[in-house]
Amino acid sequence: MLSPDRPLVTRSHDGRRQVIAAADPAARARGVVPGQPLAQAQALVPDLQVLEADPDRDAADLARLAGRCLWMSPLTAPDGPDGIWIDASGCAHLHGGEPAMLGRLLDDLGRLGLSGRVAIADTPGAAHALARHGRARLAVLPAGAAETLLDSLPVEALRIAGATADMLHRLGLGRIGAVRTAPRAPLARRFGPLLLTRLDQMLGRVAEPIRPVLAPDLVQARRGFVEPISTPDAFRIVIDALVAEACTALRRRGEGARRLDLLFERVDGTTRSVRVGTARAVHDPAHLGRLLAERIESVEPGFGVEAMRLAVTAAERCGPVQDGGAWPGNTWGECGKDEPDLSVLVDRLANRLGPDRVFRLAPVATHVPERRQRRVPAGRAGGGGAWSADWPRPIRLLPAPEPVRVTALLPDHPPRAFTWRGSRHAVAQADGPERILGEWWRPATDADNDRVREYWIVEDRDGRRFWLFRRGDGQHAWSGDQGWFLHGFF
Amino acid sequence: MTRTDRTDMLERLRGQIARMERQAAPDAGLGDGPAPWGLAVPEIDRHLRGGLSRGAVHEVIGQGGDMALAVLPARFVAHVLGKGGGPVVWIGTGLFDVHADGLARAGVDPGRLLCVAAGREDVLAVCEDSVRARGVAAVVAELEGALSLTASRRLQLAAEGSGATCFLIRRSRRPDDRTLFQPTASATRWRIAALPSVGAIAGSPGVRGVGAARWSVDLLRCRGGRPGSWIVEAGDAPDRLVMAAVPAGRAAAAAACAVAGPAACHAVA
Repeated sequence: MLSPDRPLVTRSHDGRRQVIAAADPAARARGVVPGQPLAQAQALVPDLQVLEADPDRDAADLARLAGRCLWMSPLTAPDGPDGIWIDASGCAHLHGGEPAMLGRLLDDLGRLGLSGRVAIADTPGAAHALARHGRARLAVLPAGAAETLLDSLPVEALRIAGATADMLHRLGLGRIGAVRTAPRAPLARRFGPLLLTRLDQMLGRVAEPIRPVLAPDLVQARRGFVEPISTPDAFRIVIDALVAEACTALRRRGEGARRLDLLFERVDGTTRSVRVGTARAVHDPAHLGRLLAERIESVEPGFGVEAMRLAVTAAERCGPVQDGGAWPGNTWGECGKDEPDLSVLVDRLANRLGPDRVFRLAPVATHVPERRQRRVPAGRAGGGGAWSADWPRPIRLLPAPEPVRVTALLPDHPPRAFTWRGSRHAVAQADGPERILGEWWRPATDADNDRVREYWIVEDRDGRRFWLFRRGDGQHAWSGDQGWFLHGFF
Repeated sequence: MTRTDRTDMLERLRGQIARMERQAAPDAGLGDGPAPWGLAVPEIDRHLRGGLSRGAVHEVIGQGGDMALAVLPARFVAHVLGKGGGPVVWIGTGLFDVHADGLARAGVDPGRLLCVAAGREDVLAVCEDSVRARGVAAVVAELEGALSLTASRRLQLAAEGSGATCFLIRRSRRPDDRTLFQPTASATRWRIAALPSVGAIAGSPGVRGVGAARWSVDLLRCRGGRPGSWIVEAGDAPDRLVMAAVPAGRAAAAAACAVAGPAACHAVA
């Protein structure tokens, strides 16, 4: 049983003997320092309490603590074994200025029973150094402060190996200021690039990004198995269980999944994953389960799968849901029930073929036929916007107009015959021209932006109808080169 | 075996066959199944007893140079879709070349369409999925090449199960591909071919402009019905496509019979 008034240390093994890993203030006051052999410390302090050091759990707890610090800023990350970086850019004004913000941080740590030292500076390196080696428990280095403010700190603050620091001390370069003013080339030759990189990072000459922890509120579910599984039926059962769990969590939060990752942890230590997306936020277990089950075949189970994890990597709020209550067959409700809901079909097809292969058509405000329609994601019901049926338009349109050879008599007349893809069509009747102007708001030099087109509907001897156009108005050279093209079919 | 026994047994067997074929008997009255999909061409609708049946597969094939592009089949299907409501899934192969303004002109609101650009080998699977999906009124699939009897039977069963109507636009790169005419389990098979139109004003060839397009519409196969052949004029009105059977006895009708081949020509007055 641990007692709070007896000195406490943790021990680890350095390969030869038991050493002190960390010591509390009471132990330090009696001469115990980290790195000391345990036997020596026990000789100094007879009633020493010793615990086994557990670096993994420390790191996990530190990561959790970094997650807790997200209240202050969206970017936090654990720093080494004993620190947390918080990128507080643009956050201080929300907490009443930088000193007040640090005060609140210390209060928050105090409520957890933790003591700490905090520092705020322009670079992660400087903050790291100030927090560990500064004089005050709470330090604020003003923005753009002179480099000389850090000169008095010991070289250990540079995050360099202990051997390097010892050597620097022996050479008389024990302070950062001395290292900063020393010639760089000999330093680099003697100590390698790390020393100068650290110095530059501290002074802001080299950028040092931090890897932020993820927000811990991802909806996820995991199942581990006693025996590895590898059959599709077994996967399907597990998927149902995972999806039900995730959907319950989503429903509680009023959210629906937009993207799901299903990870298969295989016996051989590798992981296979399946990702499915949905067109709109969904928390219907049947729907999500079917989407995932359809992708099972793409997973190689290898020697077996020993755990499966489902994570909702993108979620969206979906509107208030009427709980179906005791209504049979409607225990979950669905987001949006105004029209025949094709979202199940859309999701299945989009996951099978790819999201850009399933779409709806939306009109574009232009007269150029090939740019008239654009593809919009199928999740949006109805294309939106109005279509025009004022002019005869072909039902099939070539994606790009194809040049044809024509026999034409007069510039203002339709061609007598044209040859397209090697076959000749004699024109029996024709109607036109319908003049369509290009998009004047785009540069006329664009290859696909003709200034003027004159469209003709022509019918050949067999009765087939084509949509031909001539580039240019027939009078002005700037309007086009009089080339004939085939564009569509009626 | 008495006479009543025999009639009873015959009734039972007939009922069994009807159940196997899972289609409402055509003379069972309109109250039984969903209303058929009318074409708004009285002569053809009368021949089909109301129109194309829902919950069935209908094939549409072009002719000659139109086999590859299937322009007129698409026009015909768009016309039919314009006569009924509900969401439509349009499955194209490769690049999707349907022009939405042309659809709107033919009477279909492009907002009803959910478009799928599937690979050639995916079309049938996507089509079956779409037919089985809830809430889909019609599925249009552009299918290139042959369709096996098994695959068509699967589609037909799926359509019967869900009640969605499936239109297969059959395409082929070869202009005279006989594989498109092999037997399938579809309810009907249509061939739409272009005929020379009579001009903007009939009888005055000098006037510039095109008149109403003229098609020969051949019902090549019809399950539980007779084949037929008509000549229709597709008037191009801004708001809707009007199809009207051309009166028989005209020279054009005779020409059409030659085009349609030996099939019986029912040009209805």
